[in-house]
Amino acid sequence: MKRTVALSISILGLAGAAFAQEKISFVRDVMPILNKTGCTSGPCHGAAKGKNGFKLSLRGYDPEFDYRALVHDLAGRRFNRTDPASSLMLLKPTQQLAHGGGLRFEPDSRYYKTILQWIAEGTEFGDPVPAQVTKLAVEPAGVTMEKPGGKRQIQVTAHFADGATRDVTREAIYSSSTPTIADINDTGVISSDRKGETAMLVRYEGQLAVVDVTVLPEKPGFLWQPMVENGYIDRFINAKLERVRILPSEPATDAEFMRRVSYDLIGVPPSSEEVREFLADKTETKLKRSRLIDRLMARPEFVNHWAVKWSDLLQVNRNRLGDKGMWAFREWIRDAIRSNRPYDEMVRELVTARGSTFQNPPANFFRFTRDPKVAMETTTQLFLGVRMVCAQCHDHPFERWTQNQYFQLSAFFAGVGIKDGTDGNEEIVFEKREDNEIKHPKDGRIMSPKFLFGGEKLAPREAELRESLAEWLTSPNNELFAKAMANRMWSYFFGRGIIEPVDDIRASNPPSNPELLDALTKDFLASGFDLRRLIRTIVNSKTYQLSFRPNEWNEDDEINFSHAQPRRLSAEQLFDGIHLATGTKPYFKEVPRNSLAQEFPDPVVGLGGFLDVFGRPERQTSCECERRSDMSLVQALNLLNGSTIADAIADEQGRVARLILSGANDRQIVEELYLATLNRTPDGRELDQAQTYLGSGMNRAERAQDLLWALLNSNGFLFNR
Amino acid sequence: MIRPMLLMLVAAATLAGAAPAIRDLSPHGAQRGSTFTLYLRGEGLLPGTEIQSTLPASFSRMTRSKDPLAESNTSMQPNSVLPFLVSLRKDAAPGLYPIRVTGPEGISNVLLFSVGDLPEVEEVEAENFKERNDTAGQAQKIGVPATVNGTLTAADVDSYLFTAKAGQKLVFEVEARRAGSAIDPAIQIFEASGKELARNNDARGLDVDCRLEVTFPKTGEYRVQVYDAKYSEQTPNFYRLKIGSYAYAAGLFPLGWRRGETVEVSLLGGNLPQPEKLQLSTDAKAEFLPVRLSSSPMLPLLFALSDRTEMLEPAAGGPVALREDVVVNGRIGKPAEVDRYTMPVEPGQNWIFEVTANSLGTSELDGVLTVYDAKGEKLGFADDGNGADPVLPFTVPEDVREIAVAVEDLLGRGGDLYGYRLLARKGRADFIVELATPFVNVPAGGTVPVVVNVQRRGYEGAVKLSIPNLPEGFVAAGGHVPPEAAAQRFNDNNKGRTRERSVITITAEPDVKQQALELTVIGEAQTPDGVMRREAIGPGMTVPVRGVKEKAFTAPWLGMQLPMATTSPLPVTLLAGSPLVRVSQGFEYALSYQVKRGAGAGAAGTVNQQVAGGVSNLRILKGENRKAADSGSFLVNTNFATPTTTFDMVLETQTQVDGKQVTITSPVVTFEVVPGYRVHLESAVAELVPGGTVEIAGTVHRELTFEGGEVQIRVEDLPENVACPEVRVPAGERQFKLACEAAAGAKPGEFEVRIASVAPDTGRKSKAEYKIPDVNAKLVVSGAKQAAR
Repeated sequence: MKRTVALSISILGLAGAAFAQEKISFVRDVMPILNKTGCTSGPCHGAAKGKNGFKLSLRGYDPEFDYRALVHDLAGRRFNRTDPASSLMLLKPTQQLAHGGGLRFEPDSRYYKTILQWIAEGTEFGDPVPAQVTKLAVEPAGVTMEKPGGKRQIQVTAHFADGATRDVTREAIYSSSTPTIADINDTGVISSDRKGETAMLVRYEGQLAVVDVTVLPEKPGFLWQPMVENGYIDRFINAKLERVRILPSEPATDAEFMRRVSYDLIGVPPSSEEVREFLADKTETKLKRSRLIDRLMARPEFVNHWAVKWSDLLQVNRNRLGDKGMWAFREWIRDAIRSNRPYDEMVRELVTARGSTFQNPPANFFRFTRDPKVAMETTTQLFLGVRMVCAQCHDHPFERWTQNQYFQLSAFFAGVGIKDGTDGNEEIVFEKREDNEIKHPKDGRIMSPKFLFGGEKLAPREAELRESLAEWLTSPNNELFAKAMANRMWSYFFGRGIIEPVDDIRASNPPSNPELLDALTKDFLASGFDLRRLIRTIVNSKTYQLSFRPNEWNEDDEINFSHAQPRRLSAEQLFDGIHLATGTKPYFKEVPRNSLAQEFPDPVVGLGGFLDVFGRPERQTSCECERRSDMSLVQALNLLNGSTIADAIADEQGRVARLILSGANDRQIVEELYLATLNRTPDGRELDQAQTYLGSGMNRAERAQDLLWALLNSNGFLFNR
Repeated sequence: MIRPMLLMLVAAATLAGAAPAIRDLSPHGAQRGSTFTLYLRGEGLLPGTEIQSTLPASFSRMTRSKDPLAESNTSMQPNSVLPFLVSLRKDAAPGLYPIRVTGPEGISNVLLFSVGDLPEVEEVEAENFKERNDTAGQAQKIGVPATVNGTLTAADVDSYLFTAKAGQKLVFEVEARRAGSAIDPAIQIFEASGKELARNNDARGLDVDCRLEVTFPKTGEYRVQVYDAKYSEQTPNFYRLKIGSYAYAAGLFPLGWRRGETVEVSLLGGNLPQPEKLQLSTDAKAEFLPVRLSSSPMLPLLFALSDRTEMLEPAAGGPVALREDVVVNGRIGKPAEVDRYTMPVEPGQNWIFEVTANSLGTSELDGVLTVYDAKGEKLGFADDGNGADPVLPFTVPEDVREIAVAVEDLLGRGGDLYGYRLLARKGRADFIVELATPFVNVPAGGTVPVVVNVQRRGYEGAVKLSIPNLPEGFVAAGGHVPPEAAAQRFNDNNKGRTRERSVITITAEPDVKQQALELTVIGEAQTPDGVMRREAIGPGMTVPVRGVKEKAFTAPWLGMQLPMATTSPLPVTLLAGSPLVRVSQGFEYALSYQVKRGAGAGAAGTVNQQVAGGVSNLRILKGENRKAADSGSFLVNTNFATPTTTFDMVLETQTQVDGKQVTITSPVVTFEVVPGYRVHLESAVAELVPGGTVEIAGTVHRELTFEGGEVQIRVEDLPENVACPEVRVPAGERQFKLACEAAAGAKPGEFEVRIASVAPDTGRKSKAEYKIPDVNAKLVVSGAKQAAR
C-alpha cells in the first residue's frame, strides 16, 4: 500500500494549471471522480436507498448531500486523517477491502492520488461558487465520418464560474443516443459502425453538451438531385439530404396526395366524386393542390379532426371532467380551432383559467391536473415539450433542470384551489388564500416561484402568479414554446417530429434537422402563433408531397423526411373511413345521430369496441404516446372477422346494396369501390381481376361485398401513405 | 347503501296505496288568455279528482276520449289520463304555477305549469317520433314570436327554421329545469349556410337554463337548435323554447327585504338598457316573492323575505357599522371590491356571520367572509357554507373588542349582479332542517316515512325532529339525529360532513277520519344557551336528475311545508317487535318484525332495514327467518366502541296490492345505546383528616341487557399518603364502599379524583373487559382545625 501524502506534481498537473496552487476541493475535484467512476450512478450508491448503508445523490446532483454523507456519516469513519491511505474511501474502490461495486480505480491512478491528497489536506468542501461549471465546450462540435468504421477523439473543456477552464475529457461522462451507428468510449473516442446519424451526450458536473455524429454511406455513385422547392422547408430538407447523401423520392401522385392530405387535414377520405373531380382538374399541380388544401381547411371536419388531437392532449374525458365539463371543454377547443385562435392566446387561457369549469371551460385544465406538481409537469410537457418529472426526485439526469427548479416552477400552481360548484359536478378553480405554497421535500423550504430560464419579472400579487407564468411561457423570447408546437405539428404530417419524441425536447435528443426546426419556429413566431398558417405551410411543401415509395438512396431513411412514411390510420380515421367507404352510419346513444367518430367527445363513446382496439387513448395523460399506432394480432382479427367491417359491408342501406339496386355494371361497381376505399381508380390489372370475380358466380352482391371486404383489409386502405 | 334506500323511502310517500300521481302535463304551458285542453297523465287520476292550483284560470273537467299522445313513442305509459278544459285569464302574470290534484285517495305530487305571453307551437317530433327534426335538413318551420313545446331524449337534437329580418333582435330562451324538467338545455343559432351565429348553455340567473339575444345580420332563414348539454337521458325531458323580442333582466337589487314593508327594487342586467325600478310591497307569508319585469314574458325573479330589520349598504365608501340581527343588503359593485363592516364585540361572545347570495339564484357572487381584528389580523375565514354562500361561526378571542367583517367575491369579480345579504347574529352554531319528502298520503292504519335533512352549520350535537301540528289519530315516531361524533365514517371523505338524514314515520290509526292539511316539521337542539328550534323548509316538489353529483330539482319557493292527506287503508302493514329498544353497549338485540297481510295483498318481498343517519360501530345482521316469509328478525350488534346515543331504524318491504306494487314501511324503531352499567356515588365529595378514614359509598346500576358480572371499582388520581383499596362488586350485588385512609403525613387540600370502574368479564366470547367513563369526585383532606370542627 502506498502511503504518499506529499503533494505530487503529477497530480497538480492533472488538476490543470489554473488550479495548480490551490488545495484539492471536494466540489471541484472529487465530485467529478465519484461521478466518472460510477459511485453516484443509479445501480450503485446513487440508488434511492444507496448501497450497503452508503447513499450518494443520483449522478451527484447534490454535492452538499454527498459531502455530508462522506465526511460526517458514521462519525467520519470513512476517513483516516492520520493515515489517509487507510481511509475507507480509498480502500473500498481500490478493492483493498471487499467492495460490492468492484474495482473503481487503481491505487496508482490519478483519481486515487487526488482523493488521497484531498484527505490529507483535510477533506475540504471548497468554495462552490467559483467551482461551478458554467459551460462545456466540445471540439469538434459535430463529427462527420466519410464511411463506417472510423474513429475520432473529441476534447471537452469545462468553463468555470470564475473564468477558469480545464480539460475534462477524461472526467466527462459519455453516452451515444444510437450506439449501433456510433459509440463513444470513456476517454471520448467515437467509433462508427454503420451509416446513419446519432448524437453523443457529454456530461460534466451538471452541464451537458451534444456532439452530432453523421456516418456517411460507403455506396459509390451517389449523384445529388434536389427535389423541386416550394419554400424554406424544401430548401432545408434538400440541404440536409445532400449532406447525408440521400435522394428524395418522386412526388406523390394526385390521388395519393389527395388521400393523404384529406386524412391529415380533416381525418376522413375524399368521396368518390371529389376524387374524380380532382383527378380531372387540369390546373397546374401546385395551384390545384394548394386550392384543395384551402378547401379542406374550411370544412367542418377540419375542426372535428383537430379537436380530437387537442382533446387527447388536454385529456377531455367525462370520467375526469364530468359530463358537462367534458362537453364544455370540448366546445372551447372546437371554438379555438374554428376561429384559428392564436396558439399563445389559447395557452394563456388554459394556464390562467379560473372560475367555473362549466362557464369558463379552460378551467378544466386544472380539473385534470389538480396537484400543482402535475399541473407544472403537464404544462411543460404540453407547451414546452419538456419532461420535468425526473427532476421531482433529483436533478434531471439528461438535462439541465434541477430539483429546485422543479419545485420553483410548481410554485406557480401552488395557490390553485378547486372546490365544488353548485351545478352538478361543476368545480370552481380559484386562488387559495391559505395553504398556497409548495415546500422542497428535502428540507421543507418554501419554494418561491421562479421561471425555468429567462429573467422576466414576477407580478407583485399572488393571485397573478399564473398570469406571470403564462406571460413567460408564451413569450416570443421563450423559444421552446414556439419550437415545441412547430415540432409537434410537423410530426402530425410526417409520423415523427424533427425532434422525436415530440414532448421530450432536451439537449441529449437533438433535432434531425435543426435548421429546419429553427426556420419553422421563426415562421410560427412571425405569424403570431397562427396554427392554420403553420399547417398550410407544411402541407404545401414538396417535402410533404413526396411519394411514400422509396428509392435506392433513401429506402432506410427514417429521420430525414426523404419520402413519406406510411402511417396506420388512427382509430377514428379507420372507423370513419370504413363507414364512409361502406356508406353506413353507426349509432351511438351518447352522441347525436350521424356523428362521425371524429366527433365523439371522449373515449366513453363506443368504449371497449373497435376504436379502443385500434389505439384510441383513454386520455389519462398528456403524452402523445398514449395514442397507439401499432398493429396487433387483435386488430388484424378484428378487421378480418370483426363485426365492424362485416356489418358495414352487408348493410342493407350500404354502398354495395345501393350499387346493386341502382343497376350499376361490374366495371362501375369496381371503380366505385376502389374510389370509396383507396380513393383512386383501379389500374387495368385490378379492374380485370375484380370484374372477373364479380362475374364469375351467381351471387353478385355477395361478391361485391367480398371485393369491398378485401379492399378494406388492404394496406392501401389501412395506411395513410 | 344508505342513499338508494332513503330515496326509496321518498318515493314511498307517493306510491302508497292508490294515491294520485301526476307524471306529466300536456301542454306544460300556455299563452295567457288562451283556452286549451290540459291533459294530466299519471296514476290514480280517478274521475272524482280535483285540480288544486294557484293558476289564474278556470278548470272544467272533461271526459277522456283519446289521449293525443296515445300513439306517440313516449316512454311514459301512464295508466290514467285526466283532461281539463282550462281558460287562462288574460291578465295572468307570466310565471310558474303549481298544479296538484286531490281526491278520495289523497293528494298528488306537484308539477309546474308555465304561463307565457307568446303563441304556442308544438314540436312535431314530440307528437310523432317519425317526424324527425334532428338536422338542418329536417328542421321544423316555425313562425316567430313563439313558444315551442318540445322534448329531448338522450342525444336528440331539435332544429327549428325561422325567418328574421336584417337588424331584428330576437331573444331565445329555454325554460326547462326552472319548470321542473330534468334536462340541461343548450341552444345554438345558425345561419342558413350552417355558420354558427350564437350559442348559450347556462345563462345568468336561469340556473342551467339558457338564453341569448341575437341581432340578425340579414333578412333570411335561420335555424335554432336545442339539445341537452350532456346528451343525457332524463325524465321529465320537456322544454319550452321562447323566441321573441322582449326585455329580460338577469338579477335584482336588493336581493330581499323585511316582510310587510315596501321597498324599491331594481331589476338589472340582461338586455335592459338601464335598471327597471319598482316599488315592491312585501306583504306575504312566503319566504320568497316573485318579482316581474313589466311587459315581459320572462319568468319572475325571486325576492327573499325576512322578519328582521333590513338596511341597504350605504352608497358612500368606508367601513359601515354592522348591527346584530340586521340584514345588510350590499353589493360587490366592481371587480376586486371588498365591502368592510365594523362591529363592537366582547371577548368570548359567539357570533354567526352569514352571507346569502348565490343560493337565492339572483346573485352571481361566490362570497367569501373574513373577520379581522382592529389591527387587521385575520381571525376567521369562510367560503362555502350554504352552497356557495359563506357561514362563519366565530368566537371573539381575548382582548378583541372590535372586529371588521369583509365580504368579497372568491374570484375577485363584481358588478350589478353581485348583490348579497349579510347578517350577524349571536349564537355558537346553527343547523337548518330541510324536508326531502315533498308530501305524504297516510293510509288509515298505515305508516309512511318523512325524510328530513339536517344541515349542520357548526352545531355538532344531537337534533330531535318532531311534527307539532300532527292531528289527533296520527302518531309520529323517530326523528333522532345522533350527534356528529356518533356518525359513521366510511373514509375521510365524509369527515366533518355537514348534512345528515333522518326519518320520521307518521302512523294513522285505523279509524282516522279523511282529511288534508299541511304539517310543520321542526328540529330542536339542546345547547348551552337553551333550546335551539328550527322549522323545516319543504321542497314543494322533487324531480330527480340523473348524473354524477346532480341534485334533484326542488321548488322551495312554493312555500309548502309538508302537505298530508289520508287514504284508504292498505291490506298490508309491517310491524317491528318494539317501538323503543334500550341496548347495552357491546351487546346484541334481536328485533323481530312481521308483515300482516289481508285480502288483496300479495306476498311481501325482502324486508330491509335502514339506520337513519348512520351510526359508527354498529353491525346489523339478518336474523333468523321463520318459515313464513312474512316474519323474521334483525340482529343489532353493538360493541364497546358503539357511541351511547339514540338512533332510529326503519324497516320496509315491497308487495303487491291489487296488482300494483307498493312500498310498506314500519313505524320507526328507536334504539337507545346505553352503558352496560352506571356508577352512582352517594356523595360526590368525601372528606377525611390526616390519619383518618372515610368511606365513599355508591351503587352499580346494571342494565337488564348487560350480561357482565363483577364490577371492579377503584379511585384514581389520589393525593400522596391517601389510599383507597379497590373493591369488587359481585354479580347480583349493587352496593359498594371504598374505604379510604389518609396517613398522618397526608397534605390537606381538595383533590379531584376519578372513580374508575371495569367489568373484567362481560360474558362475551372475546373476554374483553368493559369500561365506562370514569366518574368525577372530590376528596377533601382537611386540616386539624377542620377535622375538629
